[in-house]
Formats: sequence, structure tokens, C-alpha cells
Amino acid sequence: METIVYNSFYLQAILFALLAVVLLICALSVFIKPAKRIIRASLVDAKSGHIFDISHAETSIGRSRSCDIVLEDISVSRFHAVLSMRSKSWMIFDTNSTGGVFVNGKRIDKKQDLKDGDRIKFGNTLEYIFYSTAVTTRKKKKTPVYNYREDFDDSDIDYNPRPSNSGYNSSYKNNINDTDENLDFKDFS
Amino acid sequence: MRTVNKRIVFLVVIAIIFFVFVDILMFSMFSHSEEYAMNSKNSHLFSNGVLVNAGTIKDTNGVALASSKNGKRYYSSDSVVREAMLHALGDDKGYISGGVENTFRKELCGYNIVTGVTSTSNPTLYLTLDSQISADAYEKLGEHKGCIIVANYKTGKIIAMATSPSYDIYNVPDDIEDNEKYEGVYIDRIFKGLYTPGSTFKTVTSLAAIENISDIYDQTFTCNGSYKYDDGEIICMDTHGTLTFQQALNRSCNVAFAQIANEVGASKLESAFNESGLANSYETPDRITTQASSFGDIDKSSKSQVGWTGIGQYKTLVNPYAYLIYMCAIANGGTAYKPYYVDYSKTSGGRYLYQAQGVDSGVKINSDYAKQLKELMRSDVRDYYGDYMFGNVTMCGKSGTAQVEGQDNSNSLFVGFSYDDSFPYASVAVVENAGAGLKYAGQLTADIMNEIYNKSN
Amino acid sequence: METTKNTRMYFGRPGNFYGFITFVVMIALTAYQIIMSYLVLKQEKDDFAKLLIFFVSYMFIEWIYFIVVGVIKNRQISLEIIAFALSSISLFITASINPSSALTQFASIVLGLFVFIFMIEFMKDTTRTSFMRMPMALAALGLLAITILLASYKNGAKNWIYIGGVSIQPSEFAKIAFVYVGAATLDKLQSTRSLTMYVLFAVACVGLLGLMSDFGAALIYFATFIIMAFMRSGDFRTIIMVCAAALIGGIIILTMRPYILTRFKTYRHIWEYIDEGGFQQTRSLIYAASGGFFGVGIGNGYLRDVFAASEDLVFCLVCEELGMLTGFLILITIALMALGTAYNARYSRSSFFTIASCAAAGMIIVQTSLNVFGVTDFIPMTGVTLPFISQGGSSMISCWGLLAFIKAADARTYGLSLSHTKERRQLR
Repeated sequence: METIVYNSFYLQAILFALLAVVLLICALSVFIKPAKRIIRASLVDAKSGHIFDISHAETSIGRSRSCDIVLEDISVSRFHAVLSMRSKSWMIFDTNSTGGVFVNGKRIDKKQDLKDGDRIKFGNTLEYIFYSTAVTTRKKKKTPVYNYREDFDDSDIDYNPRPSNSGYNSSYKNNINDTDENLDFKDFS
Repeated sequence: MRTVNKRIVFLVVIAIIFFVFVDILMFSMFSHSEEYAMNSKNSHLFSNGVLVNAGTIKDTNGVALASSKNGKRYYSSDSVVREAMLHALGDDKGYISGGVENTFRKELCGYNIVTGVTSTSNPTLYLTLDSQISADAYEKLGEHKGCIIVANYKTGKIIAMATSPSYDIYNVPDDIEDNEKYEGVYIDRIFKGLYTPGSTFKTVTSLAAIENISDIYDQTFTCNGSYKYDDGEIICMDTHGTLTFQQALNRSCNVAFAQIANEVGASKLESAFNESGLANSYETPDRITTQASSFGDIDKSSKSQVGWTGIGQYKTLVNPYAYLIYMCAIANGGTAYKPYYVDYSKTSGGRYLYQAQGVDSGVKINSDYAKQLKELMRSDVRDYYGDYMFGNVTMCGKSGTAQVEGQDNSNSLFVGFSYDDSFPYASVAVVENAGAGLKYAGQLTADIMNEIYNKSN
Repeated sequence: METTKNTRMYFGRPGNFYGFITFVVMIALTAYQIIMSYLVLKQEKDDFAKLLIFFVSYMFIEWIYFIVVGVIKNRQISLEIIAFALSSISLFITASINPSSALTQFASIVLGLFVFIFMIEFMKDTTRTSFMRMPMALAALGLLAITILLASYKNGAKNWIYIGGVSIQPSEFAKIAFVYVGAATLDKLQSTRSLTMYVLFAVACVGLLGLMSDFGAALIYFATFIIMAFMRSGDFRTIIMVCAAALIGGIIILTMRPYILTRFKTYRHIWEYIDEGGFQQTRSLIYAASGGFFGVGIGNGYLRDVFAASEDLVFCLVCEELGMLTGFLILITIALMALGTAYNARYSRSSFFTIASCAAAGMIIVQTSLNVFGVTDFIPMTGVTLPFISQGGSSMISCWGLLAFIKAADARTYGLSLSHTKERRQLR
């Protein structure tokens, strides 16, 4: 057995400290704020005006209580459809329902792309209008459409008043909702 | 999505269970860390089972007995010291279980959970022993097997000890397994040995007598060389005539003591045996478990058997270490510490890893009886053996010559202690297959006691 | 102009706290790796130059990744940094013990990183991801089947094949496919509510692994299957039935191949068989304890001379050379990573990612448990590697692959990477 000269205790302690800093900060930083994307879309009851707020990327629709949107009509299957936000656009999926899913009057096969304003019917229910934005009733909400980085600092954003020919006045913030339709969905991937 | 999201809790449960078990593992590993690290398979510390990466062991005078250098273990340059110290230090194969290099590994390695095996402060372990005196004692045992142990009866510190046979760790004999000369070589006779006590047992019988016979000092005994009982005969070494109790002890009259034993009775005799602490197995502070002595399974109704027991020539077997405690108790007013030889272990930084403390042996003899025994044993030397034999030491003692079947000569035994408190040493010596107790064990004791005396003055 | 604006955006603002923290972490990681490189290299004579190149290249790659993905693309890279740190430990250990394998280890980390990046990119499109499930199922079964046909026995298990001098373990790659198959988008989950097909697939995989005698992997696959089956259906009854069936199946196998039980002979008796069956575990515990809190230093340990030290016993090797605190730090990190996965998965873009990330994290935990608790004699040893830390190319690549699932569930991964100018353009 050759004599081993062990490394300095303090050196080893420093190594541990460095590694601890790296691993623990990284592991714990996940918990600082959850990556919460605020997704906004709506299903509006054509007749009653009731608004279903779509806040998940995938929403289950059906008669079962465990669905995200519960429709109590008898013609609606327990697990009727799924409304999903995909790379290209929003889509509606018919998940083996009995009554079928109708988009703008036509029964869909398995899935169908959706665009803003499409009218959707589940089985024999009334129609729902799909809006790919958050629909508010009276007040204009100041919520941004996306919020993927909580540390997003908008100090660089130019809040100068827009040229008047665009039809907008005052600050940028108030007009977010109105401009949603112009967002290109490519950017949502 | 809600439903799927709810099920995420399954992962949380798994993670938490994992975390709990990791903590249990961590706790287990931490609490066993010393045990694991001290395993002789650990190449950081051991090489072929030998502790190589450890601190130095020194005797009470600072003489180095064992040390490590460049991954090898070195011992004293004096071969007699090496042989004498072998059982105290331990061997490289682990045959000698009581060796300090085995029992005090931890305190030799300075392992602790924070620094692991890397601690650079190699600790030094100090023994209470004087290696030179012990070596002399070993040398004086010569060709004989046996042992001697001398301890301070006030503190419990063992100043000298030797057990024979032993061997030189640098030159292990080829015939160590076969040669009768090395029979029992790995055993430390002090801690593990059992001997027929012979006349030294009369110190126990005397205790029984003092305790149970109120007029023992007034009684007289007549010895005609032998005494016949219904079922056996007690033979005496001499024809002593009429003796008092004290004289009977001085001259070690078997006839007298056989009668005393029977007068006391077998059960009271056994009580005294137990009271003296001889029956116990001790966990010494040096982490050795001693062999318990035994009174012997005798027919208590047989007078001859009781008689023979009373003079230590029957089934009774005594362990030297326990015997030493008895001697210390007598000398020390009825109580005694457990003798020990590992003093303390200190890192080079001054931190104590181990410090011996006196541990009460649990032996309790009435202090008045102890005093009487002390006087009786003093008179053995003063009135019979002769003070000249013990030189500068005012000695108290009792010799014993034990006949052993199969041996040409008797075992020679001597137990005793110094009368003078300012030189508070007690001793037990056994020289096997030698002859008369006083001539061999007694002389050995005298030599060593004087050597200690000279060294301390 | 866009880039400079972004860079200025990153560094210029004092309020960008998280970016700053990431930078500090990168500095700490680099300092760690520089010191470790020095310690490994100073004991090395023959392969000094080669290893130096590997270490420097590795740090270089980390910084490139940080700059490109962390700074320019402005994404959170804490998960990747953990993986970089752990992988670097495996690189240092391999370089120190088997310098000739350092190239393979380095290459597999890089490959793993590419697999990771590729998978993240690929899974961007949920529809495309969903479409690939069937091919993935075939790939998994195919990989396992090929292994049985081509494999040679190595250390009691028949799960390695040799290609061009490199040994690979296809069952590791099949893990990625296995998780892929088990996950499903919500529409698929709702359409095919029956688990039967999936159960059959899982049984086939586990069966093939059993045929290979790779029981550790079979256990891992099985546990992952349970997780995914539960995530998909929430159906306790089916799960319990499957577990019961598995138990019965396990007992049948044990009666057919009783030699497996010999492995259990030493369990909880390792000290009695200290030089035989309990050799590895006893040495692991002895040397782990020898390391103390902070270790004897890389290269100064003795456990490395024991068979399979850098693979099966690596946890205790880390304890010995880098310290027991380091070893447990790694385990805590893995636990936190799993909890973080659960925390993030709530907001993932599809139930596919929710399920896949939970399964991947669960798989890593199960594998870590089998390795760590096995080597310390808490459970019998099963011969599986420790994720990211063990030497082993296939294992490393598959771990990065699983990491991709975890990362994909993080909504920020597929967050809108719009730059300001784009955004402004849109909003006129």
C-alpha cells in the first residue's frame, strides 16, 4: 500500500459547496414561480351568452363531472370531445361520442381545425361560438395574452401613442384584446 | 386536463417516499460510519488486516511501542519489549483479540465522520504500562508459562503486565502452531486465564472466616500433617502443631483451613468467593471481557470436598485479573477500580479522543474486614516469608503452590500488595509448572515490585 | 439589431434577477469543473492531453449552451445545468478510473445533449408527437427483440450488443420509446379509454427484458408502466390487478429459475459473506464511510478497484472520493427534480407531456432507488446504473432523453419566444 496523500479538507469542502450551490439553486429555482401560461379562448353559448373560459391547452368536454367543461344535455356523451390548442391552430376532437360534434353545421370526422367564430354543436345541444381569445363582457381587461416569463420586464416596450390612423389611441395596454385577432398562431409553438 | 393534473400527485408521493428512504439511508450510513470504516478490509487503514495507517502507541514514559511510517507498522527495536508487549498491542492477524490495535482502532485512527480517514492529526495512544518493567517481568518468567500483573490499587492503572508464552512479531516462529512451547500463545492469561488457586485461596477462606466466625482469632487449630474426614483426607505440607488463625495463614496450614472451611460452611464460603468479585466476568475499561472464575460444583455436604475447596485445591478456578481486583479491594479499604492499561489518546492538535476514567469494579468488602485481611496478609510477609525478600517494599501477600494434573511441577502463585499507601501497588503472579509459590511467583513479584519502587524513587 | 437588443435586454437590466442567478450558477459550475479537472489531471500522466481536451471542450459546450439557449433565446436552463453538473461528475470519474473510456463517456454526453435538443424540437408540434406513438412502440419492441437476438452475455445479463467496438445497451434507448408510447394527448386518452393495448405492450416489453435476464430494467419498466397506467386512467382497480398479476408472474419466474434467489442469499447478510457474495456491498459501505463528509479526493479512493465501481457502485464511490454529503446532495437533487416536474406539469401544453414527464421523473427515481438502496444493502442488488453519474454511454443518452420529457412539460420550453420587435410588429 503506497501512502496516499489526501486532498486538503478545505479543498474538498469548497468543491462540495460549489456543487451544492449549483444543484440546489437550479433545483429550487423551478419552484420560484410556476411556468404558467395564461391561455385564453372562449366558448360562448349562442343563446344564453354564457361564457366558458378556456384556460388549459387541452380541455375535455362531456357530461361526466370529471370533464373540464360539463354539459348536462342527454345527447352529450360522458366524454364527448376535446378542445385542444395545437401548433397550427385550435382543434376540436370527437372522442368517440354517440351524438357527434358539429362545426358550423357539419359533423366532423375525428378532428377539425377551428377558427375564430366557428359554431360548435355537441350532439343535440345548442351552438357554442368559439372565440380564440378571451371574451369579456364589459370591462376591458388588462391581461396580456401570454405571460411565459414571470420576470418579463416590459421597460423596453415603447408605450408611445400610436399613429392616429391605426384607429387606436392612448396607451398600448388598453388595446391588447382588440388586437388579438391579428396574432399569428405560428408564434404559439 | 383537470383529471390528469390531479393524478400528478402520484409522482409527488413517489418523490416523498424516495426522500424519506434517502433520509433513512443517510441516518443509517452516518450512524454506522465508524463501524464500517474501522473494518479490517479498509485499505485506507489496514494492509492484510494489519492496522498500518494509525497513530503511535507509547508507554507511560513516552517510549514508542508501535508506529506507522509509509504504510507500514513498526514496533519496538527491543525484541524482549516486543514479545512482552505483544498481547497488549495485538498482532497482525487478529488472533490476539484484546490487543489495543484492535480494541482501540478508533482512537488510533482518529476517524471521525467529518474528515473520514483523511485526518492528518494522527493521534497518539498512551498506555499506563512501563514497557521496560513489563519486559523485565516477561524475561524473568523465562521458560515458564504464566503471567504477572501489577496495578496501582488507588487508581486502577496497571503499571506492568506480562503473559507468557508470547512471540516476536518481527520473527514469528515457524512451529508456533505445533510446538507445545507455544501452546495458548494467543491467549492473554491475565484476562482469559483460569488457574487452580492453591493456598492463595486461603485469602478468600479467611474472608469467610472473618465474616462468619466471631471468635476466629481466639480459636486454635491442631495440625498433625493430615486430617481425615469420612470421605477423604486433607494432606498438609508440614506438621504445624497448634496454630492460631493468623499463624495458620502465615504457614499456609491446609489442615487448619480445611477445618475453617467446614466451620464456615460451603455456602458461606461460596458467598465470600462471590463477594470477593472472583466469580465475575469483567468488561474492562480496555474493552476486554475477562473469563469468569468459578467456585466449582462441589458436593456441599462432603466435608473433604469443602475442605479441599477451602485450601484452593479442588474445583475452584480463578482468573488473575479478578484476583487482582480482590487484592486491590483488600488494600484499598474494601473497594477497587477495574484495572486498566490504556490511559488516553490525543491528536497532535491536542484533542482527546479517549481518556480513561476509574470504573468501579463493583466489589464491596466491609472496610473493617478488608483491614483485617490486610493485616493478616502483612503478617504473612513480616512474620513468615520475611521482609528481606521484598527489599524496600513493605509487602503483604500470600503464596500458593497448586498441584496440577499432568504437570511435573506445581503452578507457583503469589498474590499481594504493598502495605504502604504511598506506594500503592497490588499484584498477582502465576508461574506455571515451576514449584513452590514463594520461590517462583513470590520472587518474581518481589523483583518487579522493587524495580517499580526503584524507578519511582 | 434584434440580437443586440436582446443581449442588452438580458444583461442590461438590473431587474433581471433570474438571469443573473443563472450566470452566477454557471460561474460556480465552471469553477467546480476547473478544480475537478485539475485534480484528475494532476494524477494523470499518459492521457493528460486527451483528457484536458475533453474537460475544456465540455466546459465550452456548457457555456455555448448557456449563451445560445439561456441568454439569446432567453429560456430557463436550470434543468440542463443540473444535468451538465451530474454528467460532468461521470466524466471526471470515468477519466480518473478508465481514461480509455473517457472518449466514449464524453461522446455520449454530447450525443445525449443532441438527443435532448432534438426531442424538444421534435415534440414542439403536439400533433406530430402524437402521431409518432405507434412507430415508437414498434421501435421499443424492435430494440428489445434485436437485443435478444444479437446480444452476448455480459455479467449475467444478456442485454448488451457490440457495434464497431462499442458496447451499447438497447434497453436503455427503449426506455425513451417506452415512455413515449405510454403518454397520450387528451384526445387520445379520451378516445381510447381502455388500457388493454397499452398493458399488452408493457407486458411484452417487460417479458422481453425478463428473457434477457435484466431484472433490474424489467422492474424499472414495470414501475414506469404503473405510473403511466395510473396517469392515463386513474383506475386503481386495474392497476392493482396488474400488480397482482405481476407478482404471480414473478413468483412463477422464480420457481422456474431458482438461481435468481441466490442473489437474495447475501441480502442483509453481506458481512457474513464479506469476501464472497457480499464483497461489493461491504466494500461500498466501508469506503463510503471512509470518505467522511467531504471525501478523500478524486483518485484517492480504493473502491475504484472493485468490480463495477463506476457503474453499479458509483454512489458509494462518490461518497468515498467526493464525500457522503455530495452523494446525498445528488439524491436530494433528484428528489427535488421530481417534485419540480410535478410542480410544472400542471401547466404543460398537453396531457402527453404531463404523463411523459411524470413517467420520466418517476423512472429516474425508481432507477436511482434500485441502484442506491441496492448497493447499500437496503434491498438486494439489481445491477442498474445511477442516472447521469454512472459510467455508461447508453445510460447517459437515455437519461438526457428522459430529461427532454421533463423539460417539455415545462410550459416555458414552448413559451412564446417572440422577441420584442416581433411582438411589437404584431401589435402595431
